[in-house]
Amino acid sequence: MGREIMSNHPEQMQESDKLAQKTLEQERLIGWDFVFSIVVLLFSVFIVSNSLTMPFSGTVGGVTTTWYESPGLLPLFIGTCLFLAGLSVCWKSATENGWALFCQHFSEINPTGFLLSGGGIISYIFVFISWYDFFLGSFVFLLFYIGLYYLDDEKLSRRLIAIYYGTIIISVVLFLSGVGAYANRVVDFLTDWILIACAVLLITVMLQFATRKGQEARRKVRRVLIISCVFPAILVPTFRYFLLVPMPKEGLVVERVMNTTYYTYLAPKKQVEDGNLSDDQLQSLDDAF
Amino acid sequence: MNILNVFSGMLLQIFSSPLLIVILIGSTFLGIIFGAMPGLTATLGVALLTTLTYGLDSETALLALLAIYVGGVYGGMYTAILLNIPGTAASAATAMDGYPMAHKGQAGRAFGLATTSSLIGSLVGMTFVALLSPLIAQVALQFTSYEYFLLALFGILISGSLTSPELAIKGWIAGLFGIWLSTIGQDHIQMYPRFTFGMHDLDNGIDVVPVLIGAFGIPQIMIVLESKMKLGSMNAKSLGKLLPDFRTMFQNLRNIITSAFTGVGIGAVPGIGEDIAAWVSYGIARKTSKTPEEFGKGAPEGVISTCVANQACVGGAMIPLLSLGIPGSPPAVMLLGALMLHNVAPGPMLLKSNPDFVPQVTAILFAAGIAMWICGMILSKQVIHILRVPQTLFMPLIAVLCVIGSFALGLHVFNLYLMGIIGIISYFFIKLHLPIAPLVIGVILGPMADTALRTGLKTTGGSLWPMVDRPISLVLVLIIVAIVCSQIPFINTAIRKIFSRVKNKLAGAY
Repeated sequence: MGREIMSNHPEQMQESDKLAQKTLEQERLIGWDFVFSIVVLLFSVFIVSNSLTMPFSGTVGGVTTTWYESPGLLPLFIGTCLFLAGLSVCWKSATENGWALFCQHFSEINPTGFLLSGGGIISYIFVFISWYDFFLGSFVFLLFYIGLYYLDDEKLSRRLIAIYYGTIIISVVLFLSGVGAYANRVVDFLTDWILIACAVLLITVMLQFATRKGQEARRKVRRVLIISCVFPAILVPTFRYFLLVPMPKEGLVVERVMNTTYYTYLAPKKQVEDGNLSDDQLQSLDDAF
Repeated sequence: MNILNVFSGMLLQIFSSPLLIVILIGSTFLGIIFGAMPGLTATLGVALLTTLTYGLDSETALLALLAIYVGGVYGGMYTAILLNIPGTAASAATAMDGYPMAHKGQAGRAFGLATTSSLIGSLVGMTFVALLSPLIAQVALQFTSYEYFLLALFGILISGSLTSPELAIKGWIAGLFGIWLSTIGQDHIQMYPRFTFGMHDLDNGIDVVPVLIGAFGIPQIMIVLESKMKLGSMNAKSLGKLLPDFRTMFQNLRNIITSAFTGVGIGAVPGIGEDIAAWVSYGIARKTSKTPEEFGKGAPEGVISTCVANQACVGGAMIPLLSLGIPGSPPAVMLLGALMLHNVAPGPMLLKSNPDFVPQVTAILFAAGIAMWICGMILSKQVIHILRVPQTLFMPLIAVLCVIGSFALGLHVFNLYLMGIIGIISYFFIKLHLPIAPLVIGVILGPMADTALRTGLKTTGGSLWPMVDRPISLVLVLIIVAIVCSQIPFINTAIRKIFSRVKNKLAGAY
């Protein structure tokens, strides 16, 4: 009997741990629900106030409107429904001590995971895609993002983050101040060299890590480098030349290397045929354009 | 007869063209990979493939998209059976008995049963698409603007209620936010700019595809990378020989029929995905089984019921999509977005102007089902080899695909910003236990709700009376009121009290 109790004890402990964890998560959620409901209430007030500025009667821009034809009708309906829904969540959460629970668990919030995963993607979209050559932007993003999660080493991660976000800060300063645009006017695609420098730094740091950590790390780093380079190298030509989708920004690699190579050596040559067109036909052709 | 001709003609067209066969098998295989890889979903697969199908004609695009959808729903069972980690939410119920079967050394049998059950589910779903879609579309032709508005509202409310069981109101908030997003830009009747904040990029409203990719793709990538999820080791040899096991299938005929009906029925409810269909049919199979105690310990019935329901749900989700233009599941939302890009607007008018569309879709579903079965029986070991690629290596590549996919459809960098912002909002929604399905359904159905409400009011001179005057709209109004009232505590308590009093009185009378 005693042995049975002993053997059940760890399982019971595990069960109670799970239960405690669940309760904790529930408490956190109630706290967050309270804050969320406040955001919903504010958002609904914004929708309602904004929709009330839309024409509900009279003539605007030559169009006579009655309340039931108003463009603000649905937004007003949505805003009102959101307000009621927000109020309901707020009331429910408040009766369960939502605000107190939020304050209690606020210090436990650790945004590192979100800032790294979300920050990586957002900076890729808003900085790299907007201002740099798509190939280079994707290459650097993949080097950083795969390196961060796949190699999963704290010291390496810190160095990767420093280099990546350093580049982001430099880019933001350069382009928002107008220096970047000026530099690109002076020398074509000059700013793309920033990403090349960033890529070289990231690769150097990874290679140092590989040398320090041995065989397994070398294999992993090699994999990161190959995938980061090969993936955009396949993706860009596929979209650019097969699906005829121009890249968001074409610079040092896409414009100078890929486009030049493709249109000089690989693209099907334009065939010019001699045609005996009459004057009328030539005139119609001219008119068409 | 004409329907059969179109159906067989479409099948002949698919299977006589090497290119279409390659597209079919390739998309199905890709779908299986997306379904099998935890973190990737059938919806994301459809979203990313949409970009590549933009240059194709609508029939070929539909073939590729339906094949990846069918493959994606099926693929989830790979890791569910082998590792007890469901590749998609839909296959979570399959893991209940699939994993114990694999543990007993019956992985090959479990795979065979799951694959054949999925094929049966797919065929049943396809049959219902062919039979029900034209009928519902016929009824829908009688709908007035109010009915369309109520239908959109019903779709968002029911999807919000069922995908957010903890607190349905949170699901509704997600749906309302989705409708609000759809109101951004110039309205379709008076061209009045709404919520554009002076940004000309917003004048034409927001593109659906970047919103869908942002909502389904970005948070998924972030969550998987944050969790640093690592899959256990999978050995292709452990799979053994794949057996269809027709004898077991035949013994479970009743279970198969019940699960197929459950799958189709749940699939037809707007916004409800395969996961709910699988769990409900698993519950029914367990309740009606002669040996319920075997469930959870490796009962083949559990695997059969969930897989049949999963795939039948695909067909079910296509029914409201084709007949009403209302998507039945999250991947169907994406499919609707893709069809819109190809200038195909599903709904009763499409079926009236192009009656061949339903038999064509049915034939594509049939072909996709066959391709799924063939891929499942022949290429399973290859899938397992691919699944060994760590997620941390795979997910960043998906992020790049999301970016180029969102950009390629409109060639607007603004779409990428939109995708990023929606992605971050969706991430917080998921963290706060708010479902994403109602949000995207709101975005899709918002324009219909807006136009239908205002047109209806204009037609009736501002009177809401016709909403309760017509039987269909009255039924919809009553259902909507019931859904809303079920979430208001004091009304809920009052109804329960009334029911218990009636029950007590009836008990007293007898």
